[in-house]
Amino acid sequence: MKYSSSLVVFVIVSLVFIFACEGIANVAQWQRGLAIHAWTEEKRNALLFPQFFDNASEVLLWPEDQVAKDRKILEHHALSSFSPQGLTDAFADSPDGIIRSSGWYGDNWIGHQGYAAFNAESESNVSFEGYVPEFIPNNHIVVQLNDEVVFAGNLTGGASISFAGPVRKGINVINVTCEKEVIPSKLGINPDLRPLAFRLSIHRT
Amino acid sequence: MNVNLRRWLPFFVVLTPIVILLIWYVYRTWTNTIFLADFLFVPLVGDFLNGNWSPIFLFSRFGEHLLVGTGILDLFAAKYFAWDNRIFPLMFIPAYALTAAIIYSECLKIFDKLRSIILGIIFLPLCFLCFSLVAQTWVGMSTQFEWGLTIGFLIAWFLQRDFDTSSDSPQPRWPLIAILILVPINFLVFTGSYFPGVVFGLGVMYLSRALLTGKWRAPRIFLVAVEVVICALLYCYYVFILQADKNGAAMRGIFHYFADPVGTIMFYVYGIGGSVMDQHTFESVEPSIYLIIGSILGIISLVALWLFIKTEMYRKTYLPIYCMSYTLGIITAVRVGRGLFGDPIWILNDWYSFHLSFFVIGVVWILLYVLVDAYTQTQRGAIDEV
Repeated sequence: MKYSSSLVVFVIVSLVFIFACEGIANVAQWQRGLAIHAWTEEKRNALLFPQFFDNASEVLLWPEDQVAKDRKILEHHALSSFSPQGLTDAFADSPDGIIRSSGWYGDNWIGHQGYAAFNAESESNVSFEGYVPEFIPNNHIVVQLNDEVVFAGNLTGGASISFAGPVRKGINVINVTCEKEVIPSKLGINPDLRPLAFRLSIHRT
Repeated sequence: MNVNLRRWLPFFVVLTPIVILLIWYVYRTWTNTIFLADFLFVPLVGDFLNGNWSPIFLFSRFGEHLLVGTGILDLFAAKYFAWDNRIFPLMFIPAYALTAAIIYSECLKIFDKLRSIILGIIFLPLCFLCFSLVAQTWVGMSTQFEWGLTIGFLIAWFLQRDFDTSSDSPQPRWPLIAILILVPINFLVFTGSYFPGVVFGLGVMYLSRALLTGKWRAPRIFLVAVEVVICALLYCYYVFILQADKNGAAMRGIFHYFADPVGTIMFYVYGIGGSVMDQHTFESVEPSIYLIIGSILGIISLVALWLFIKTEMYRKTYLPIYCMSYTLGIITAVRVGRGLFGDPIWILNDWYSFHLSFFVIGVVWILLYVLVDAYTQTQRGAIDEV
């Protein structure tokens, strides 16, 4: 076949068009990778720490009763997110090895409710140091470790407390519930816009 | 260095950085977790690891899509990789590499006179398309279908050996035996409801060969065709009678396919557009952009088909035709199988993207062949003038 220059130009332009589309799509997909990562990380957290979520099965896009059954199988056989590597990955991003839910902030302040989780290689103890700020005259605080109450009581503003609890091998979840929360900026105390109730630091031994 | 190995050097030079980039992408993108339909396999995996298991379980549960292949891959991942889900996108890589290797092996045959470095330059865009992120849809069951696609391509490659008329010596038997083994494995283990892609691809390959060369008689191909038809019927029996299609979606789909011809045409155009751009590229833009891209690519592909005939590329290979027809077969299967009415953008869903991306590989392959052919003619002309 004899090739006219217009045909060759058409072929070249076609290839440029195809690879321009492909190039744009590949760059977009590469950049989208981080969003996918965040999306799947949320799924991983819903699988590992269902307590953090109002409805973990909705996040996992699967019926609740089946997720509960399947979670036990996965945990028993140390599969997927429950494998040693999966757990290492899950806690890799938190510098102190503790993942906190949205109501429990990185500086240890907690609002009305907060969850945290950490992984333990073996059975041991964990100690807690709590503090109720002066701007809340009194507050009722309940701290649960793996669904067992390790502290419950009324605390006056400015009070500090210490207590401890048993840690089991594997994932440990802490649930803190506070009766009252206050937004300091609304009271003109400081510019903090977060609803705060209690500060709780965790010391693993 | 061995001559054959030297000729394969460009393949590895091109492949290596692309594979490294893809592995990086997998670990940057995916988290070790399971969700959605992955949960379907948890009881099976649990039974398997407890030892209360029989291979028959693999055949007993997962409807039209999740065939034995996904179960096998899950058990493999659970046994050896603690079911780290990132193993599934990584399993795509050998499948893509095998596709790229088949293409490279064809390029070696087609461009046998070219220097290795030029061969590498021609192969680079094709290899890039094999690994394109447009086609990345990694959930467990996609891995099964990706391997179905690759094994289908392998079958087409083996089958094409029987098309080779350049040699007077009889064709060896092993490709036929390989095909006869691979076809049922592919249909019943990996491809499942996407079998029309392979059937359409092989059918169009055979028809184009018969029309272009006038050689209709092909006993080996007929033997393969009989096996393909038996496997397709078995699969249809499995799906329609035993398993999933309880609400008759496929029957509705056949009706809609013909009752809504505009929707059906749009479905193809969107599908062709989806072969170069996945639905997330312009998420906030009107999906009509895919219609525009699909229309342009549709025109380019028609010209490419014309060039395939005019340049007599078919004397060297039919695989670009297989690639294009495979995707068209998949688009048809989705249109029919999903019983869709007036919803052409459905075909842009993530889980179809790697099926669609095969189309553009065929088109680019032909266009590159034309460019090289034109260049070779120019060189020859220049030598003649001298």
